Amino acid sequence: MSNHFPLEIVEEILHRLPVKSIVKCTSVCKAWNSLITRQTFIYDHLNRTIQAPNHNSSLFFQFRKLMLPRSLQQEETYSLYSSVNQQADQFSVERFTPSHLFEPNHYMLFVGACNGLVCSAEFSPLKSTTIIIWNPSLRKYIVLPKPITTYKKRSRQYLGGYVNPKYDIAVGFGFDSRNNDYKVVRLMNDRCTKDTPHVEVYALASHIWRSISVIVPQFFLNDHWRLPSVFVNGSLHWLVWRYDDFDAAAYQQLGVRLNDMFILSFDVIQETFRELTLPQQQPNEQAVISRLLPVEGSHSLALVNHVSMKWGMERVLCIWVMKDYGNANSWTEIFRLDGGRYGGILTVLALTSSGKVVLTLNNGAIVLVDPIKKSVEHVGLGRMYEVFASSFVESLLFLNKEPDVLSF
Amino acid sequence: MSSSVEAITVLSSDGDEFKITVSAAKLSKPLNWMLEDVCFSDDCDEVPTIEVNSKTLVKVIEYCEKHAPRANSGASDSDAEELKKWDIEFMKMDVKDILFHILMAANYLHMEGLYDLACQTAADLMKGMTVSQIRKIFHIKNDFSSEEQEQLRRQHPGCSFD
Repeated sequence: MSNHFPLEIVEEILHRLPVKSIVKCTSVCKAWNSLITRQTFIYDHLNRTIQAPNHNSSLFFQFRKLMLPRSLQQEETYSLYSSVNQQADQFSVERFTPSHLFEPNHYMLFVGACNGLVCSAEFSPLKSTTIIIWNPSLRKYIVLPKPITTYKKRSRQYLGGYVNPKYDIAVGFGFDSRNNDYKVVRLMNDRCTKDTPHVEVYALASHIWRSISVIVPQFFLNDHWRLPSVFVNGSLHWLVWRYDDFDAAAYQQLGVRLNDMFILSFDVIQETFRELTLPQQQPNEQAVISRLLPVEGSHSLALVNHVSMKWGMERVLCIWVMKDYGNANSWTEIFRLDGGRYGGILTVLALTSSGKVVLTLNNGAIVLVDPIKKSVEHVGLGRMYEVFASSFVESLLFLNKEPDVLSF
Repeated sequence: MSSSVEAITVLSSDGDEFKITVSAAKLSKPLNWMLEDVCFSDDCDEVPTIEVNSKTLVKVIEYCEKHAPRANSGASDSDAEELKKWDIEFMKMDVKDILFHILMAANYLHMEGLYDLACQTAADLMKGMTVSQIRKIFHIKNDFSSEEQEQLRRQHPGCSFD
């Protein structure tokens, strides 16, 4: 009977395998190979993974060795942390070899992760800038064509420093659900000219960049250019400053004034920008650092404010959620973390769908904290690194995209 | 169908007779339709045949009888937990000999729960297998040339095929 074992059943079994095992099965026989590499199977697999109850329990991390003065070398490593099925936690680190595509002295941004694909971009206004989309599970990547709008003059770049004096470059990566396509958007602000920012969109299906002329609110990224874009509800989001209000000296001295900031959002389908308002700042509190995060699984945005009580020493992390997406009145503070807890909290990296908070601690440890049950799960060490995290689903995207797609 | 009937008799593809309770038979859509269509009173001499071999049908009926009370009345969490443990024990079977037959039977009899369980069991077994082991259990002949195999390896450097 097994000579005629129905492919329909084989397909059902394959959908229950991890990505690496599915890829292994492409070499079983030609019938299985064509079944697995079919676009419908790849999309089916993705949809089933997203709909599975535990799908957001994987976390993708980018670690970066901190830039030292006079050292031009830097190194990124990536790893996937998975606590699916309550199985033993694993922390696997994989070296990212296509880094040779990037200039060694340029900063490599973790732009974002979406449906198992990761976008990494060189932070550079120059023509040579490299942007790639890759699938870490399959070790496959695609190099994007060079963007249209670039600048010729090499400006001084303060890579480890606090602002890039000349340009703001914001890059975002998201999924266009209407066209089943993945898009990279790149915004460039030349601060000297005060022109409206240049906007270019790359779509994976066409593999080309398009300049789009849209109205973009004037913005200023400040030191937030390092942070990944936040893809929620079909839109990309960046936490930015209002251009006219930004006072660098005051920022250095006093920290963030939320009233000077807003969320710049880009609708990936419509390709339009809008502003979202932040929660009102409490009069007796002062935000030192703010960070935007997606609330996994709830199509909503979260804001993490590191707050110091006026002229007091203690530091508190306030986590706000915009419960009704787009409605500024729906910002709600959902909980606070004392900055001194767990031996000192450095920052919040991510919020998981199960209500857990991913933290980096002062001692370099990365932990998953359940603020209600007060449980602490040790994820690994991030010492000496700058760390970014994102929820992650393993997918088969790029499996059949030869020859545009390369392997590493 | 007479409401007094609690169990029906079915024939396997090998021609053996099996009894299955009505509530257990309801777990399968085709069997359920059959119950509605066919006269199952004692004096009815028509015995339906299920295209599943005896060895497999025994297991399928065992599964149905175990799951029928829960499917018909709902169950507490502790029952569900117990049933999960039972499923794990139940699925400890030889792949080639019986698991594949169970998969085909569950598919043919439209038994969602058993099908899902059997697919997951097969997947869990395949996770740790090499390509040649997978071919062996599915009785698949390798139809790739060695050049094609080499190309596949090059295409997927992130995956081990052994």
